[in-house]
Amino acid sequence: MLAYIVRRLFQLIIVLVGVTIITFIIMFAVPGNPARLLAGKDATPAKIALISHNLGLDRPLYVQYYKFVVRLLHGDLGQSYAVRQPVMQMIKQNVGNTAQLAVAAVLIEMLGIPLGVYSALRQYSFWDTALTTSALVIWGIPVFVLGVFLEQFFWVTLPHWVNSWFGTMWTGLPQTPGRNVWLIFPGSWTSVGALVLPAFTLGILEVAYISYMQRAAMLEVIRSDYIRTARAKGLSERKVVLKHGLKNAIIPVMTIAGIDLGALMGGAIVTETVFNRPGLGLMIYNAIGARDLPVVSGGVLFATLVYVVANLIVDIAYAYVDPRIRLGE
Amino acid sequence: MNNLNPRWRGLFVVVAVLVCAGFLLGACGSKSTSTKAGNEGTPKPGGVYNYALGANPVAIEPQQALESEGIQVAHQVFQGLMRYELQPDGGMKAVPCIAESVDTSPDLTTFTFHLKHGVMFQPPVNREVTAQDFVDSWNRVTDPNANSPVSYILAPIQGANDGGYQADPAKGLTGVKALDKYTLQVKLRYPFAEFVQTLGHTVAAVTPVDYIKKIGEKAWALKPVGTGPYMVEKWVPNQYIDLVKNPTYWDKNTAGYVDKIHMPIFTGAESTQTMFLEFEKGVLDYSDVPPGLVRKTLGMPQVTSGKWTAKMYPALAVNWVGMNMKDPVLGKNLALRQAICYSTDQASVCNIISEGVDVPATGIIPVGVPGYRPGQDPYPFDTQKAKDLVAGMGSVPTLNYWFNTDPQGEKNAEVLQAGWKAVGINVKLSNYEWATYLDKLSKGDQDQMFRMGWIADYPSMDNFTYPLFQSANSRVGSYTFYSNKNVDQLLQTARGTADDTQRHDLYAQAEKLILADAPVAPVFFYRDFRVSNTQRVGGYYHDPMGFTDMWKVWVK
Amino acid sequence: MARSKGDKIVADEATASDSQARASGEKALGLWGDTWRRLRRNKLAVVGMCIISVFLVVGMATEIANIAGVNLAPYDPNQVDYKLSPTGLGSPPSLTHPFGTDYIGRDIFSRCLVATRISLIVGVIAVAIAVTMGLALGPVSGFYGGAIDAAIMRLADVFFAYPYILFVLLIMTILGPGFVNVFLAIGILSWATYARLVRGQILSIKTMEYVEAARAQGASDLRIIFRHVLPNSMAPIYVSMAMGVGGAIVTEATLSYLGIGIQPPNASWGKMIADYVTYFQAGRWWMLTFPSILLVVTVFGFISFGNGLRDATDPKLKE
Repeated sequence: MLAYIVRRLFQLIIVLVGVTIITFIIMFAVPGNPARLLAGKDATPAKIALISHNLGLDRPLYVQYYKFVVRLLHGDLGQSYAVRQPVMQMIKQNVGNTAQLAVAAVLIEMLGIPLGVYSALRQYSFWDTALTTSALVIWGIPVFVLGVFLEQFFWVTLPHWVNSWFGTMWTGLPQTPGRNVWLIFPGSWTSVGALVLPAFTLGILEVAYISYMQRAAMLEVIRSDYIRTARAKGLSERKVVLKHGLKNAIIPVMTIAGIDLGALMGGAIVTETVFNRPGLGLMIYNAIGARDLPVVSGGVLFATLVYVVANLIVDIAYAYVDPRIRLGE
Repeated sequence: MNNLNPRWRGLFVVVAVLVCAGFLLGACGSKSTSTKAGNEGTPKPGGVYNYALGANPVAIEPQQALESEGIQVAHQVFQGLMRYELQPDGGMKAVPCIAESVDTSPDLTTFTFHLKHGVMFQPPVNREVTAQDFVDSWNRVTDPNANSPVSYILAPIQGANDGGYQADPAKGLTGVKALDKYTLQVKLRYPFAEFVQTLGHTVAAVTPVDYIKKIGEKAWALKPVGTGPYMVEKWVPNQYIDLVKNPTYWDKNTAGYVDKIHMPIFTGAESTQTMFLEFEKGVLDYSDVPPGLVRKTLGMPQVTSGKWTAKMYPALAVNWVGMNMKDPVLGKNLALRQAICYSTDQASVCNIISEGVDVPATGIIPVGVPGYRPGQDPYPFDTQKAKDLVAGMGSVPTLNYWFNTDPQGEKNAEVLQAGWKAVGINVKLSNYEWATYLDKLSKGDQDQMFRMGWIADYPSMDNFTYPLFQSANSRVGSYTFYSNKNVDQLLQTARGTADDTQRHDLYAQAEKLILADAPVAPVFFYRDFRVSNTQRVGGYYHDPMGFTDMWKVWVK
Repeated sequence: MARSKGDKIVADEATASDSQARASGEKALGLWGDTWRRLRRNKLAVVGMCIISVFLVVGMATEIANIAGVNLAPYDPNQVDYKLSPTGLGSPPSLTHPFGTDYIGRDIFSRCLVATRISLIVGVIAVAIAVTMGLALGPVSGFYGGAIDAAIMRLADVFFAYPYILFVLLIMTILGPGFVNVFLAIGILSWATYARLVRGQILSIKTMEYVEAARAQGASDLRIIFRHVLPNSMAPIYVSMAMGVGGAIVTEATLSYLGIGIQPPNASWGKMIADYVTYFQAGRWWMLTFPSILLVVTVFGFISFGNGLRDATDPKLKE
């Protein structure tokens, strides 16, 4: 087991190194000079050259990468060109918002487990067909489409209806900033209300996926030999399903959820863009536009780190729970 | 939602326009009286003003503040020798702020400012502003190692180079001297009549440089200290900026009413939409209006009943189609450029895409710039003239038109493309991300036509001509690579002419010459459509420089 | 999202593949006959196949028409007509314009129709690029093992760990916006899925008797890979490809939504959604609704077909 973890950690470091190298190469290949953006309107070539020099942009790629690695070993991700803040500090400022969204979305997607189990137990029933069909439809909806429609409905149409039905009540409310009239209406991005719609958007798409996977896993388990044995032993159907069936069928699904959490922690770019929700994804997205190499490389490194660590934890947990799995390849 | 019968919708629009016109008239009437009177009520102190920022500012302190959001915040916190005030004719003029008066030498190269006594820095600095503070502040922003994107405003001063950095950091900005505690002398490298007019820009504001050195640039950037009526309480990047009233403010007349200005930051692709939604809920007192909603907003019950004020404020900004004069096809073919100008469908861009917010441009210099000449419009939309010009050329190759990635710019491009196509000029559209876009344009080897515009740094005809079309500047100012000796000559003479009318004439002549060469096809003059919650706040105004003097705002 | 939905569809195939479908040594024909029989019984998969067929026919017809310079749509999809959008807000659906018109009076039905072509080409070519790369690297990795295997698999790890939509964004920033660059970027970034799948299949197959028999007869490595190994390990790859087309369509839509996909005035579903979203708030529901529905239905078609295909080829689900 220990050897396995050590080997995985070694692979993890290789992946992280690969990711940073790729980021550096890409950011060097990308046209557009951050110095020109910083130079403002009257960007004379001399001025751009000077700013490039001050930022160290005129050094070769490998020198900059070397400096990045040296700084990184001292726990420093450098300073943003555009925002002029330490990247570490920017990540700290945004990680809370992103974590809220990720955890909320993963909690919502857990709803898929009971739905999937129900579907599997009532295979070919009306509700199974209905659930499976809607799962497949929702699965295919792009995040931004669902986000746009939910946003339009809950933040525009619905308030307008409420306004026309309860006009006086609505306008008579004390108009203080940050007040959440309804939970789904955000006051500021730090409030709970601001979380509901983005988390729901992400969560509901995952519910579809999780319930479909849970159904498949459950079906597979139900048909397996040991369930047949359990039934043959005369155990109650309830006990067979919950104790033997679900316990085994839930493992692959929990794996997906764990990896999802890791992936979402790295920032949900599209969701954060649709909802203008500050977070790591939006931070990196804006940094790409500003050609802000330290923020992009730092942000990508952080996102990847969380993702691969989540994967590792999930794999180790998996190995503990399910002794059938071989720790080899 | 709003599926009105077309007949009724027409009536609706008419009513909305009438109501809006009423507001405009009302605003004009009350503007001449010095402070807000009329139906707005009497200002009273206290309360929180909720003002939305459309993006996370890059910086809010003078050395780095560049974009409108950052400058808007800095405008409340920092002050310089001069500040811009809206004139009764709608123009913007620099009036003394920290300066009491200014003496100008006849050759327009030496300016002596006499400072007001008793101007105090905000806590925690708490000391009087002296002439030496200006010397230090301006040296700080022109320091070549500081990478200031806005220091070019100070480029005319002796000791600076064309980019606005100190030519020799060891000597510093040699042209600025503190003659005594309250007298500041500024010597320029060349005669520049409008120098005083430039000094309302935030980069020229006074900062406590000793304090910055003490706390360090990083801490300073997040919580800078100026002399203005409001001071920075907290800036959480990407989330909000809070300003609070300055307890030791030096000027009773502009002391401000509200205790706190809360500025939530809206970032991302649909930020205006979210901002407007928050405004509708009453969380914000001010908002931009998203595209698509302009005419609808004008007809909303909140606007017609007067709970909100929805207005289009002229801005000192122009949008045009730039043409690459280095391009072998476009650069040598004046008739083709003129045909493009005549077939640039300004009206459709303004009416269809910006829904009547922007107005068709008549030239390069927009309304509201001191000296603006109405009545000239060398290239009205005239398809027949354009067709004739195209017919005279035989065949026209397919041209390219570039724009930076932006939903509005893309829609404008589609309309322009349709207009050109109608007269036989086929154009291919491509968009590039802003950073890539500027890089490619500054090389000028692939682009033919491109979207570009100019937002005034300071309200002056000089700002719309010299940095853009003077031969040495046109490659980074307007990206047109335009060059005309007569224009250069006129602009040079204008800079050295003290008399306002005479100088404005020279700039107007230069503009005429430039337009005759058609290196740009003007499309529209910007206006800013803003809604303000009049039920909750009074005293809101959005001036042509895009500033809101928040010390004039009060909560009802 | 760190990975787009599209990528998720593909990526999770790889994890699922370990637990499923060890390709059997059955003869290909028998396998596919059986698969077809089981696929037909799955109603959702049949619906998916119908959607895909309509999509393919319409997409190919518009593409052929495009090459021939003919316009299949009732109107020129890029024809601007301000009379149909007097206030810049389009006009609602009517008999002459079933989906309504957009902000500059273009017929939305015609735009939706030609956008099918964009989705089809992006989906198919992106997947083709990815599969080609996967089929080139995967067998090499699986068959030779050792240092080559380790190098390729670590590279695949990096591609998997890199936040997908960011990766696509970055590549698009290098290439610049445009139709061709969209499918190039998506294709280049999706190879790892197929490489891993093929490698996994090969590892499980290469020790099988018939491969060893072939080797004993002196067949070359290439011959073994292409004659014996690949044909027997294609089932999960076909499943991945079906899902991958859906995923690529979603990614294209997302890129266009973010403004760096298809160039104006051309239409794609994602670009139409991006262009029209502002008008939804003004009550112009038709602009946003129709392209959204088409996008979702098409992706649903590929996903339900892909899932059906997986169930049909999964030996464990055999009754």
